[in-house]
Amino acid sequence: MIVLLSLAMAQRPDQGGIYSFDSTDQLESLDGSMGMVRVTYSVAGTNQTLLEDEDSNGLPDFPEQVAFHAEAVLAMYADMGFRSPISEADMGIELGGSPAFDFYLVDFAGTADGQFATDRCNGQVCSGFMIMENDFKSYGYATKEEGIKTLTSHELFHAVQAAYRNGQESWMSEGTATWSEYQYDNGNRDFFSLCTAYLADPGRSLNKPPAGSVSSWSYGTALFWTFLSERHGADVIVALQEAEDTLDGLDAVEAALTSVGSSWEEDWPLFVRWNLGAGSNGGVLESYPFASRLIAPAEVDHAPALVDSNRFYPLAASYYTLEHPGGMLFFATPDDPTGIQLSLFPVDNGVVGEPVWELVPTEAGRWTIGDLAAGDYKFVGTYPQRADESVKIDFCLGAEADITGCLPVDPGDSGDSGDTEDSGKEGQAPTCGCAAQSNGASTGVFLGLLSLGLTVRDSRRRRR
Amino acid sequence: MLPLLLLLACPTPETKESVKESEAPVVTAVCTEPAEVSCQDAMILDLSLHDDKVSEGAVATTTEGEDFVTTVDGSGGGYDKYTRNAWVYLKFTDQGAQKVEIDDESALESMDWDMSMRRYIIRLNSGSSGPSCVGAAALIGQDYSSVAAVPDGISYVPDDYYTDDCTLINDSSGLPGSPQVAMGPWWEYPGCVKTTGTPFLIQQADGHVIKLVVESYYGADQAECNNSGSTQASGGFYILRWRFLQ
Repeated sequence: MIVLLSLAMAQRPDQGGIYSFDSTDQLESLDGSMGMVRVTYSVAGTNQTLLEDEDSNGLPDFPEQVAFHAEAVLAMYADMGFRSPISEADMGIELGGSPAFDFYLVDFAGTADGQFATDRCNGQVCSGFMIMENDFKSYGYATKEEGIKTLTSHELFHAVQAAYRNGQESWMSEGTATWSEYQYDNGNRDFFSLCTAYLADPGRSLNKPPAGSVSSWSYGTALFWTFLSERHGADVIVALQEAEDTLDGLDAVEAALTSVGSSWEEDWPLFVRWNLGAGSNGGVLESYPFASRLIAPAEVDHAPALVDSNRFYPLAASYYTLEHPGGMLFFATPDDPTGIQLSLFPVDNGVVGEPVWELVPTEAGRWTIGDLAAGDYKFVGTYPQRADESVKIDFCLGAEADITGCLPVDPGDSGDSGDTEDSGKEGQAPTCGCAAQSNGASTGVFLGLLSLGLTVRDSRRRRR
Repeated sequence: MLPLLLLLACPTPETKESVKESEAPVVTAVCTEPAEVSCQDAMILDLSLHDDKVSEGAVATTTEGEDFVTTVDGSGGGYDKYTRNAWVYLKFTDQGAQKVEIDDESALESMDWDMSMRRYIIRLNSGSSGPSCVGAAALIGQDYSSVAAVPDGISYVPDDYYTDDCTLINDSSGLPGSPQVAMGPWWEYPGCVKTTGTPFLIQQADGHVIKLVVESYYGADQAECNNSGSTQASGGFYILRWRFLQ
């Protein structure tokens, strides 16, 4: 796994710093065939690289592979429409003996495996260089080439980012760099592993990584960027970087979504659903081409009746499994759930099917979901918009007897749940999907609800 | 006679009672009722707090001379797992530091703990972190062994790492989202978590004061980090040295 160390205006390894050559190293360098990259390495000494030369061309294969893949990665970025990394010449400097982008192969001794560091900045854009593990001995990569492909694609994307805005927010910076691993190698195991780290904590807001050193979760937001590029093309990631010229973080993402005619409300619920279709859940729901290489998203709970108090954070999702014994199923919450979108998906032989119930509630209430066959169901809640705080609600999902603790109580009354009326009985149209339409909080994902006609909302009204 | 001889040969650590007897300090409770912790919604995400589990990290205390030496497994299960595991909670008592079996969200309403840690972040039960009023004073530039008494006029700082609009205040480590906790000066980050050796005075809610130093974060491998600026050792394995001063 990549561990990125962030250094600003770092010394180059032949000048000093934490990861550097020392006096025992005998340094040589080679240039990539396109002249875009120069690789400096040690042929003897503390940081000696691998010296095998199977093609007998007089140059060690390992640094040759580094140069080859680095140039291929840079060419791929250019084809996608990204800016090239800022060159040293643009900053009025020439380091490493040529204007090419410099790679230095040093021994990280297992503490990290690569680093993009900056030389000089002009405003928010910076030129820099790459320090990379010299041999990948005792690292977890299956092959040396896997390590090289992972590092070059990931770290060079940081160099691309620095052509727009150096120091982007970590969840975006690392997530998009990990996204680029998959763009270069769609079998990249590091990418799949990190995406899995995201799915292990899907209830966390996209822009709220855990405190402290950059975690696997931040890298794993690559799953969201991959979702976007699968859905809208790589142009959306280019647009994201271009937005970073003037914006940062969620503002930049929003601008990128707008550029492709989308929005949080449109894309986020679909992302949540694609994730539900990952791993062992997959097969029916639309999901990633590599969905089988992921795990299913981590669940808050699984039980015959779901009774929980949950914070639904913005741009996050909470997944549950309901082990339904069969029969009538109800949902109730005594709290204001405005903003949350809820869905229920059947599970057949472990495979999650299309939703049988969807709801965009706008007030406390009780809803009749219907008479459903016994079996597992995936219950999913998400808050698909930007917000400063979560929506925290108590809720119950189960048979009628299971939801009594979640029925809204009129302040001042006895709490007798029998004093409310069923809006359906009053002749009102079922409104759960309509509510979404009326407040504009829902779009395509919930349109299917109206045609499904599976939900009858039993809105509980206060006694006058 | 044997127990008496052992006592003579191996002095017990300073406890609240012995401090009271020998120095008769006036100890006044700082607070007795819990205060509401603001920014809980943000903190649950920022610090990966859990309401459905208690830390499995072990806590053990031994004595060395007049000091207690407490080991705490605050690793959270490791670098890739800590966000999915709970914080470890401690209470400093006459019998050593005791683990408080409590989940993270319940801890936001409990005065039963003094200190909490997971990975390199040490929280105190006060201010942003908890409803009590435990405070710390970092004695920067001093040595643990040279701190013999509570200096006159010392003031204790609560955890305070959120702005009024619940934006996390970062420390100066350069690590993103690392909160500016009162105990922050115990470490630096040259490329690993290096101990500074800075001693702290920590005042409990009941007014008693301990002196404490974090001796190690990487267990026996701390010297490698401190000397070289890097290590492959697993972090979160604390060794705390402390005793009651007041």
